[in-house]
Amino acid sequence: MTPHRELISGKLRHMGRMREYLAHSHGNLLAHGIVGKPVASLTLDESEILAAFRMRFSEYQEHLGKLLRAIAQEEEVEITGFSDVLAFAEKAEIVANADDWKKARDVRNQINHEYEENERILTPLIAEMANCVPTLFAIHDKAATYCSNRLDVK
Amino acid sequence: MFGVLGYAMRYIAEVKNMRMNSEQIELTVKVIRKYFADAAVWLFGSRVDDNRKGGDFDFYIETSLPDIALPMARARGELTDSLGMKVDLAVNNHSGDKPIFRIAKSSGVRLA
Repeated sequence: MTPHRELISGKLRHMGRMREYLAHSHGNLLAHGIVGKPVASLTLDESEILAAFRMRFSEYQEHLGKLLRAIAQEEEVEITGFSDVLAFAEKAEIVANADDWKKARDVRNQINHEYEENERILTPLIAEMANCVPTLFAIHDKAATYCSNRLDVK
Repeated sequence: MFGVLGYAMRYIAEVKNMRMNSEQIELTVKVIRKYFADAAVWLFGSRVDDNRKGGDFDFYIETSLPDIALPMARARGELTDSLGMKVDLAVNNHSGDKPIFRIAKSSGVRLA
């Protein structure tokens, strides 16, 4: 296996672990009914669950983006920006729709930008972030399948 | 569609003090109105200062849209992609006053 394919294999292993973390935090978020609740009304324990979810969502998407970039590089895609990576991922049917990816990215960036007192902004963004989790997991699954079938990397 | 608007934007870019060209203005207004159809748009912050270099784009938007969270996130993302620079939006849908709204409107340059 080439060093770059080994690198992709390492990324896939890492992503598997991060996915467990995010799934756990997502489950906690839903189980505690935090989605839709005003942020100011959350207990300290609930705030911690929300903080863990936000951090894990951000990290997971960031690393998923790095995995997509590595796959595109392995396929010798000419990359000048992430839009080239997304175009490749869409064509390879790893990402069903580039807009799904952008929505998750935009929500993540906006939520990290908001102050806690902006509840009218934060509450719907948290709900949207929770909605985006299955989309990211689906992209991860398709990326792993692509690596296995096309690159012989697991 | 952008004939008269395009002319107006070239006028704004040439006459007003700001570091944003007419193509960037036209693109910005188009993206913002994709998400906030009735938006009034101002540029404010470092980009209205001719003596500075580079810097983020700060836009102030007034709209009657009640739910602004997701449109704001999407518009910010699309503008960041399109302009190739960090973009910040202050969106006022008249549900509450914030000092930044008054600062942006009084110091900014209206784009549309």
